Amino acid sequence: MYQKQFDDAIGAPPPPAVDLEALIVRGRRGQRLRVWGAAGGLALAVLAGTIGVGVLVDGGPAPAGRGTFAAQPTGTATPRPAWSPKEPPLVSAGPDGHMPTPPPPSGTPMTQAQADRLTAVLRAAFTAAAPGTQITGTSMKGPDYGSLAFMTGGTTDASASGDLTDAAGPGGFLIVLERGEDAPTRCSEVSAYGDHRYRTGCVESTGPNGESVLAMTYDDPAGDGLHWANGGKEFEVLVVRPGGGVVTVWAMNVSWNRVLQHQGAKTEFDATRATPPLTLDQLKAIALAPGLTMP
Amino acid sequence: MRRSEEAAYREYVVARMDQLRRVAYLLCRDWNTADDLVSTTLLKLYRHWRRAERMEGLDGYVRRILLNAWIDEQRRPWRREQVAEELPEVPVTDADLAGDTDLLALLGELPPRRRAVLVLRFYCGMSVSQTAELLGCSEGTVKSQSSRGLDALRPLVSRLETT
Repeated sequence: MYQKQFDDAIGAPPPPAVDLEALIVRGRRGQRLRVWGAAGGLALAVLAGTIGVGVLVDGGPAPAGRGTFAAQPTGTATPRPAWSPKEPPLVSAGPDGHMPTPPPPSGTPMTQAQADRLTAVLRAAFTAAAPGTQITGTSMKGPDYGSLAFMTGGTTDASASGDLTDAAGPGGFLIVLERGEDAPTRCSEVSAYGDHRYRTGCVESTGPNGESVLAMTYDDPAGDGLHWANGGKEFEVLVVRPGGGVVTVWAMNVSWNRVLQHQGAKTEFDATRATPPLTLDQLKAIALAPGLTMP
Repeated sequence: MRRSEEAAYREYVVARMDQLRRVAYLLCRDWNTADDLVSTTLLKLYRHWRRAERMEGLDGYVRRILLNAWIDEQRRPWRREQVAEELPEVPVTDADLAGDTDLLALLGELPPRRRAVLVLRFYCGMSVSQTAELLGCSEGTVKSQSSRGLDALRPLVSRLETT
């Protein structure tokens, strides 16, 4: 009732002064600046000798320890051009100020049967990798969705999420399957990838079938944005299969249930456990499970 | 951000741009400031898009960013509003209704928090609990702010309903 009256009172808005393309460029630039800023700070810290960190190594393992950011060789993996975020086609507002309608997503939506099959594969891989851990809670999308159950309807990607619980408490898990190979395969390519501001480490390896595997760690002690939880920690494994297909899995030390409880609220909250509920090796085992690919 | 993520971000922004601008305008009552707020909001959303897009209630999350941007904007010294704890609420008279006073002007006279409650509840269609969560206050506060805010608007709204 009131919405129409407000809209009538507002009338026809003037053409927007919001330049979406400029915003995206600023967003990309901000990511690069933060990366370079962090790199500069790290370099200064190294020079001052205040913390022990590894240096970016190309060809050998780096010293262990927090802050290590090491690139390891990919073994026999076939070299390919360095990955970088692709530039999407520009979309600008028309002369009347209205944005054009985006094209519908391409591809065939995933069916319930396909989602169920993927869910079964995921759960089997999870049980094999972490036999002492229970699937609990609900999807990150809310209580109407099952935990660790793939959603239907995705055309280019599919995801499943939920909480995993062991003696240390619940933590969050997320897996995303994508078509194609639009993803980094080397640690030298992840500077602007993902939540890079909180990344503390990256290690490359090669899977048994030639998959490229990146294992990354993240820390957000102040809860600034990784999950908005104080003491946030996260592991991520990114697998790119030869010939196409990307699998990304995350485990974090905050349960989705707690994130959902605090979504939108301004109150601070703490992580639900000290470390993510799965190790990087367990995440790798899940991500490399045969059959976990977009149908 | 990957290409597919950026495409999804762009799609979301294009679909929500008009609504976001309108909400921002209702909050700040100035289109230039509204566009600034929306720009700030969308830039922050870009930084967090990868995770935000997969969560339930993305619209609520974006409104939260917008609301915070507006609150931050008001805190800037050169744009600080002079707000009393309880602004005197002058009853709307028939003369007002016949003159220049309109719904937006009345809305603009409300204290910022009460204005935000009305916009979220009655323009964005959010529930009491959703509004309370977004504003970080109790449901009782939202209810009382809604009631008092509507009291200030009701004469005009009633008049608009009959025309």
